[in-house]
Amino acid sequence: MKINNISRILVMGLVTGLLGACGNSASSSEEKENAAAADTTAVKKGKKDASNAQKVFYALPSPIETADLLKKAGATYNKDYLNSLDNSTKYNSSAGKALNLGVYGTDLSFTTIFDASSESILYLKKVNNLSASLGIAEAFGDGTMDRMQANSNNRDSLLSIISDAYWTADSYLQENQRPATSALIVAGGWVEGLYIATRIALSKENPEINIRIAEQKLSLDNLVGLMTEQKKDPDVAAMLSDLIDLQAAFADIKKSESKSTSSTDAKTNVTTIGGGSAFVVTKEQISVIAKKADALRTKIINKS
Amino acid sequence: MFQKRFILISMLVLGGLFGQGLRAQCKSFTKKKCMPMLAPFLSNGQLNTTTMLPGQTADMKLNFNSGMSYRIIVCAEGVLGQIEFQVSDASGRVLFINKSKDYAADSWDFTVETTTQLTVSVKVPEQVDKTVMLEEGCVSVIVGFKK
Repeated sequence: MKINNISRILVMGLVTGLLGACGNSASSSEEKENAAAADTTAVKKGKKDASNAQKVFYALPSPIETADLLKKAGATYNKDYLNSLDNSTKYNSSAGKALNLGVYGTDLSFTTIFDASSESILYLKKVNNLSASLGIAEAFGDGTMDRMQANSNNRDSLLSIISDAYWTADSYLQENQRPATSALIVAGGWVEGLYIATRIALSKENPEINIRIAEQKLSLDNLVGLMTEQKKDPDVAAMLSDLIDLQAAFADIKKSESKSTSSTDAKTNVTTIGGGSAFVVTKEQISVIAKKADALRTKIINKS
Repeated sequence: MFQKRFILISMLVLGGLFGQGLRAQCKSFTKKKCMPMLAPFLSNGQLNTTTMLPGQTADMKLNFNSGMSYRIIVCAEGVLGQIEFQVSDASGRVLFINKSKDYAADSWDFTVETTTQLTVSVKVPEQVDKTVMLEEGCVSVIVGFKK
C-alpha cells in the first residue's frame, strides 16, 4: 500500500516536471503558473492523440535586420528618434522593464547599424541594467559589454555579439518558463522599430521606406499570434489589445499576392524566391500608422 | 501524515527540477549542435525549440524581407529519427522539402526578391514499433539572416 502511494506521488512529481518541460518558449510565479497551465493543455491533447498535436511558433525579424533594411533604404541616423537614456530610471514593474528592454535593444541595434559607437555603449549599459533587473544578466552582462568595447570599431563583430545576446536572453527566458516576459521584450522592440521607421518616413519622402513600413503588416500579424499565446498574462493582454488596435491602421493597405517562384543556383546551392506580397501604400496610410505607432510607443516608454 | 506530505513535496520539487532539466537540455542541445551551423548568418534572436513525440508536427511562421539572404536550420535529436521539414508560401505551395534530398539537408539557404510570409513545417516520423515507449526529443528551428 505504502509503495503504491509512493509510486503515485513519484508519477505526480515526474508528470509535473514533464508538463513544465514541454513549454516552447520567466520572474513572476503567476507567469510560471500560466505557462504551466498552457503546457498542461498541450500535453493532455498530445497524450490523447500525439499524431495530431500541432505546435505553432510565431517569429519576428531581428531589430538588427529592421535597422539594416532602413539603412539600405536610405534612412539617416537621428538620435532624437531613440528612447531617452534618462527614461531608464522610470521602469520599475516587470512589464515596464521587459517592454523597454525591447525598446532599448532596438535602439542599440540602430546605433550599431549606423556606426554611432559611443551611443551604442550608452544604450548597451541601459540594456545591461534592465536585463539584470529582470534576472537575465547572462545575456547582456559584463562579458557582452567587454566584448563590445573590445570590438567597438568592427560593426560586423558588434552585430554578431548583439545577436548572440538576444538569443541568450530569449533562450534563458524560455528555459525558465517566462514566455510572457519574452513576448513583451519582442513587442517593445518591434514597436520601437516601427516608430523609428515612421519618424524617418515623416521627415523625408522615401517610397522605399514607406513600403518597408507597409510590410510590417506581416510582422504585426505574427506578433499578434505570438502575444495571443501568452494572453493569460495581464500585461501581455493589455499590449495585445493595443496591437490589435494598431492592426486597424494597416487594414486598408493593398497587398497583391502573386504565385511564388523559386530557382536554385547549382553552384552556390542558394535558392532565389520570387513572387510573394507586393504592397501599395499611400502617404495618408503612413500618417495614420505613424500616429498610432507614436501613441503606442509613448505609452510604452512612459510605463512604470 | 507528515511523512506523506514530505514525500509529496519532495517529489513535486524533483519533478520541477526534472522539467527544468529537460528545458535546459533542449537549450544546451540547440546551442551546441544547431547554432554553430548558422555562421556566417546572424540569428534573429529567438529560440524556437520544443520537445516532440513521434508523429507530431510543428509550424513556424515568419516573414522574410526582400533583398535579404536567409538560412533556415531544422535541428533535431537523433532519437526522433529522420525529421521532415518543408517551407511553403502563403498559398501553401511547397518551395523546399528535405524529403526530396533523402532527408540529408538540415538547412536551406535562400534569398527573397519580394517580401513574403513563409511557413516552416517540421514533422517527426511515426513510431514504427508500437510496443515500445514513445521517445521524446528536442527539435529547434533557427533562422539566420545576412546583410
